Formats: sequence, C-alpha cells, structure tokens
Amino acid sequence: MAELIATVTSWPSLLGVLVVFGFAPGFCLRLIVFAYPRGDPRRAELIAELYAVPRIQRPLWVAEQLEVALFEGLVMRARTWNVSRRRWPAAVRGAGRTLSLVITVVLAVGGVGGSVLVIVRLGSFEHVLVLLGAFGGGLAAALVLGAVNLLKDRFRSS
Amino acid sequence: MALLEDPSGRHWGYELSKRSTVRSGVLYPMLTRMLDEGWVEDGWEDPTTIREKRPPRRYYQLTDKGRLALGGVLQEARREARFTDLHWRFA
Repeated sequence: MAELIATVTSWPSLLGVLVVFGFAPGFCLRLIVFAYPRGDPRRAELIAELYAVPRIQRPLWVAEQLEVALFEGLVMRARTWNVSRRRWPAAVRGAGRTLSLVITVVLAVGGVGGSVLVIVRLGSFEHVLVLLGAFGGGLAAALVLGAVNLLKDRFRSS
Repeated sequence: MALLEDPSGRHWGYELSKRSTVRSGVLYPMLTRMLDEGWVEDGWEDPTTIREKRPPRRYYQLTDKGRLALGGVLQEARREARFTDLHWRFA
C-alpha cells in the first residue's frame, strides 16, 4: 500500500498528470486545428471551446476533435486547394498534370514489373509472394485507372 | 431539440453537445450544414464581456428560417411512434 501511495504521489506521476490534463490537450488541439484551412472560424472556435470543457474531460474531447478535423477539416482543405488550383496559370496546371501522369505510369510499370519479377525469380507461390503479387497487381490496376482518367482529362482539356 | 429549448438564445458548441448528448464529432458537421442552409447564424462573444482569461467563443443562434424548419421537423417527430418516450421540454 505504501508503495502504491509512493508511486501515485511520485514526481513522474505528477508530471504525467500535468502533461495529460494541462499541457497536452491545448498543445495537441492547436496542432489538430491546422487541419482546417487558414482563416476557417472553426480553428479559433475549437481553441476557445477547450476552456469550457472540464479539465478531466479535455484529453478525450481533444481526441474527438481529431476525428472531426480529419473528416471535416481535411475535406474543406482539399476543396479550397482544388479551387485555388483552378486559379493557377494553364502552363503550371499542364506541367502538374504531366508530372502526375509520368509518376503514375512509372509506378504502374514498377508495380506490375516488380510483382512479376518476385513471382518468376523466386519460382514459388508461397502465401507471402501471392499476397505481394496481389498487392502489386491491385496497386498497378489502381494506378492504371488513375492514368487513364488523367489521359481522358488531358484530351478533354486540349 | 437543444436549440429549440431556447429558440432566441445563443448556443455554444460544447454546451449544445452536452445538452443534446450528441458527440462533437457529429455536432460540428451538423452545425456547419445548418449554417450553410441558413438555419443558424454564428457570431463571436464580445471580448470585453469575458471575465476569465480565455479567447472569445463562437455562438450559434437560430434564424427565423431555422425556427420554422426545426419546428416542422419536431411536428413530424411528435407524430412518430418511435419518439413517444422523449420528454418534450419546449412548446
């Protein structure tokens, strides 16, 4: 019992409590709100709301905000990024599309080639290799689809 | 329902989530949609009225459109057998 009391009242425990209920919630929340676009009122709102939350509930409340920020903030950010991207000059947009097309093709060829090489060179179809092949194939298929979409977009815009 | 308990009052995000027992992960996207629809309007607390050392909070207030729309939703809910156990705390 004495050991338990000594552990609970020790300096590391006190420090832990100070970090978890004092410093960490505010610090983490200030990082989390970066998920929202610059100037979004939710950034200031969440930081102000933190002071209304009882100290004991703050760690969990902040964890909840991470969920909101990931699903709401990042979507908003993607939307604003998309809008601002449309404002870029045509030459920059064209260069960006070409670069993403090149990366997609290289990754697709690498994915398919790598999967074939792994299966053929090692000559065995153990579970790991099959999984690797399937993963590579899936990745390649996704990338090829992406490339096709990009090409379509390219032809439509030209 | 929490908004209609005080239709002309100012509501805060955390307070709304406590009163309505809706998690903030659900409440904030809902409030954003209501703002987009024009059901609620938002504003910021006057910094001169704050006594504690904290930044001003954002409040939400029902608009006339929101009051009508939410009233309609509640009327429908009252007719639903699923919600008969609910305690209606407002007119």
